[in-house]
Amino acid sequence: MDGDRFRDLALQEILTGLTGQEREEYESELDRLGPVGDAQVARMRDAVAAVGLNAPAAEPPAALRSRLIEKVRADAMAPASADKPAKPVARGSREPSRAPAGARLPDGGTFVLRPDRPEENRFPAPNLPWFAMAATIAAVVLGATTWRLSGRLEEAQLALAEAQASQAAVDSLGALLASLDADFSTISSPDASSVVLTGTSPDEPGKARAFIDPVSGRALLFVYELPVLPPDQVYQLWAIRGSTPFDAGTFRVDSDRRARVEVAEAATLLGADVLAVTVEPAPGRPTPSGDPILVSQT
Amino acid sequence: MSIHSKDEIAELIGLLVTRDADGFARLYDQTAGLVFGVLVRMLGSRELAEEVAQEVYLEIWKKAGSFDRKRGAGLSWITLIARSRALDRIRAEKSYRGALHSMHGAPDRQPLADAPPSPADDANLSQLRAVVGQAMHALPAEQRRAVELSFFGGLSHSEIAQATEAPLGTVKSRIRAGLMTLEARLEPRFRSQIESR
Repeated sequence: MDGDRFRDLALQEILTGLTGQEREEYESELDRLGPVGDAQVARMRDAVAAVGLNAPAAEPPAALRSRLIEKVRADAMAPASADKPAKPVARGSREPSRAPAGARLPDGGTFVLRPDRPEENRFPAPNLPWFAMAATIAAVVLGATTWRLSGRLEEAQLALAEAQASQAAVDSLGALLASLDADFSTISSPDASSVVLTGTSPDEPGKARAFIDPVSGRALLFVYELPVLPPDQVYQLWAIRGSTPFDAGTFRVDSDRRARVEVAEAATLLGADVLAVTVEPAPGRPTPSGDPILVSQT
Repeated sequence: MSIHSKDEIAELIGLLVTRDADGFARLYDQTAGLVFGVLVRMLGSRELAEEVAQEVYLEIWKKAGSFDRKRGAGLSWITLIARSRALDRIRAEKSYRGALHSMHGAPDRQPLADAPPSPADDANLSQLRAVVGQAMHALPAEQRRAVELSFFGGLSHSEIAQATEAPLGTVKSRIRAGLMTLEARLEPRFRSQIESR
């Protein structure tokens, strides 16, 4: 490969990234050149970055510095998220750990779980016949009493469980009714506005309607016919003002490919030019990373 | 991209690996004028630049361990992170503008101009900015435009070819020549530093 071709590929890699055959070609040449190639690319990277200095310097807001330093200090004080070194455990001690008996300790030693000593070793048994007989009688009496109590307790527990299940069902129905009533109030409010969102893909059309009531401060989104996403993805609603998208919450659809979403910050939707829904990595992103799959009609 | 006798920015990045918050504050003070300037230039809005600058510095804090002096100077690493995050934001907004038909074109970009020295820079950075400004100013207009479209606009070679109505090969030559000139102007200032890595 001639020098210009290598420089072009290196610059492309630094500026936009290489893919496919060009990447293979570039990496192969980089391997061939070894440290000389690495140094050349480092100089090109410095030259590319230097172009940034042709932007006028700008003083960032003081609040940004305070905010960042506060976050960084809090993070520095927090325990490291990486695996913490485990405390060495003395041989023979009972470590409440998930590690198996005989596991290696970080310091190279091992710990061993010893079985508890048998009860008879803790209290020497009296060696008297009358004591054994009395103990047997007491055990039989206690056993019968315990059995009766145990039976009554089971009955009581069963009755309680049934009552709790009934109460839970009542509570659940009550909550559902309250929720439906609130939804109906929002939808039927004379102050509410509704916005229709339609799908951008002919394959997965999807549709949704948002109801926004500025008086009660409630906003609802009803979504239909969107595919069920894998667990590592969510749908995210955006309220776009001018060219800036604002996060309005994430949601998933049920097995019927529907969702009812109560927007936590209804004010986010007020004054939006456009509403849109994207698919984002769970648990959602501060800014959209993909194209919208549902968009409000303008 | 450093005219310090040694790469002080790289030293400060090294402190972040040990979760040194004071080191972070010093790094911020030495680089924020540059980072914020790049972001304002690329995004055309101080508000957006502030949001993205926060992402940039938190990324620097979290990923300091991945910085490798052999791959370039500390200031280069930071500048290229800022550029990447700004491009992410521009792409996200562009996709919205295209899909929604409701946006009003790209945010107003600042006109291409030489960067004047700024009180937001420390003395070393001002000196380096002056070197780069002179070098960029000395480039033929087509080279300079191609380099700036590539860096600040994030355009690919073929997009620049389309935008400037020039053949793809010509665009590649212009970018290569422009950046090699810039590299040559910078190099005497930090050659020893690179070679000592």
